[in-house]
Amino acid sequence: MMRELDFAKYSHRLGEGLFADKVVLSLSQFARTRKADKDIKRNLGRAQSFLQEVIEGGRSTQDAFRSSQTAASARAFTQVVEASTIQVSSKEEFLRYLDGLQDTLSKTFAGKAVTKEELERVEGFFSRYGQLQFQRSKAMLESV
Amino acid sequence: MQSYPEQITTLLLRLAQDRSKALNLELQRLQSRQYPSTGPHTLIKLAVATNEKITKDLSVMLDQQQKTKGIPNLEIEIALRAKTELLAFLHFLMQYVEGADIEHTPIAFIFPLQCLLRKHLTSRSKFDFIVRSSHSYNYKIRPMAEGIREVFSNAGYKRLLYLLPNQFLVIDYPICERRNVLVQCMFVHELSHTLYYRYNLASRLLPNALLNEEEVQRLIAAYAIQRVEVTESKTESASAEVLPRWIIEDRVRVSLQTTVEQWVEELTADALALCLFGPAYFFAFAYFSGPFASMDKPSETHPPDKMRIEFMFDMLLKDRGLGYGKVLDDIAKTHIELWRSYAMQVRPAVSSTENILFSIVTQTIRQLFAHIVEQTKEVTRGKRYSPQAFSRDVSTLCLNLANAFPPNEIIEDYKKGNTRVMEAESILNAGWVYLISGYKTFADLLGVEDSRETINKLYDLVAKGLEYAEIQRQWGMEA
Repeated sequence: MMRELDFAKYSHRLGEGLFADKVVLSLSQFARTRKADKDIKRNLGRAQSFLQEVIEGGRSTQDAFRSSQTAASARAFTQVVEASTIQVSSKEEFLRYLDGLQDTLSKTFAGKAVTKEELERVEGFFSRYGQLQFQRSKAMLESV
Repeated sequence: MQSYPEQITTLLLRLAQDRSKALNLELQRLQSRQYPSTGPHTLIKLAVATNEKITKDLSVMLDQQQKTKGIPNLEIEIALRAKTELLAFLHFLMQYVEGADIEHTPIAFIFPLQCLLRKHLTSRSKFDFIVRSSHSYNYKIRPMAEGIREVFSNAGYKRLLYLLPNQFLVIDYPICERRNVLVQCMFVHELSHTLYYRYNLASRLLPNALLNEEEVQRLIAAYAIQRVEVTESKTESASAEVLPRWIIEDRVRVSLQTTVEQWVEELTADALALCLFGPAYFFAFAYFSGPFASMDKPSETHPPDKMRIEFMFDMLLKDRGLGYGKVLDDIAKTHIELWRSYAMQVRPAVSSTENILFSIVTQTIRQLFAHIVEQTKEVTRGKRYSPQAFSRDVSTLCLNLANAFPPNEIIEDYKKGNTRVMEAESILNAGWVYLISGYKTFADLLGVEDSRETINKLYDLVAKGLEYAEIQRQWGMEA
């Protein structure tokens, strides 16, 4: 039987890659201008929600049948782990790293001071996540 | 004189414009074809409008290049990537239009399918679909709208989504079965996947799923020993890197959850198909899957076909099921029982981590059989094909077939000429029952010795029945 491309998975990966690009673009614009217009705010808001979902997924993988949302969050967490290059010894440590990224985004929203390094850490995270999604969507196309 | 980075940017933008023009030519070619349903034109129209907008945006980017001086390359690169990825995506989408033209589609089944979709999918929401032939021996449905929306929104082209219906489906069928109208009952299973989401059956069923924690721990230990990654697909090669146990545990759990979810969805789609089409779906499934040795083999997305047959047997004939045991004739019932006995001969699986995973999923799924039957009956209440309708229509329609008449109507009163136009469900059930029990009579009637020709004539007669019934309904010819 011929291999079939899973359209839902392919479009989701491509969509996620494009979403991560938008976040990187917004962070780059914000770092350059230190101003957050409507588009930047919207994209960073989505980045915050994304991180929130991932963190919840990491905390609830044991009972992911509770709702389809929980199962989706658990899958999102696994993908983020794959995309990350940081070395951690435990899940808790990884979750703390994600909390840190979310904290930077919250400070940006609240107009609090954020260092260049903190912004670069968030940008690096989304950049790697986006690259992985683009690579995977491309690999799916090449595999059929 | 442009600087080096500016020259590159100009070149990249021009190359992207060339891609957009090439796509435009392809879209014109596809637009000029004839399609039996509106779905292909809907998708092409969306692609044409998006492509035009991308061409325009690329021109604006070229014009504004002077103003972008000083903006880091990364930002231009990202803005350009959104457009080129979307262009490639549009190009990719057009493959779903191939094989959907009038020459490659089982037209007799398009009308019943349209009626089914209208009956079960639409209330306020717009929908459209494409039926296309495929060289993959498989029936498949793809809900496309969500994926298209996700890509368009993230690429910054959300405004064009008004051209996309709320629900947009692409349904594949194997081209070699084009003439076999009876096996097209497999479409109902595919449609049922959409109903699974519409009725939110995952949230009704999955909370009842319980994994055997002891077995899960055994599986995690087995994977940890092997030190291999549980990969999502076979294309992403497994690597032998040493992973921390928490990552292995996490991946094993997600893999188990995903497999349980997908198997529940498959079995529920089978149950819904039985609710909507009765035994015709069971016959089609057995006909379609039976000849393949893979009936024992599960996958991440599908339970073994033998388990599906066992489940459907229970739902059709057993207590608390659909109640067809009382209305099927002995030959049809024996035929179903034959499939069931075959399904019960399960070959032992080879010992592997993958099979431990499938065995845990199987245990979990079996606990859900009764819930699936109960929930699917509940959501289809008032819309089900009933054993009463089967009992009322099927034997009479089989008589039509035995006389080589299309099974489109039952004459209620010969004197007054009152007729009852048949629903697709009864026509297809009659076709299957007659194929199973009356095939020899039909061969004698036709005087044909070649069994393939006899069966094809029967398919044609059933297809005519579907077509005539639809014409009668459209012309209001019901008594």
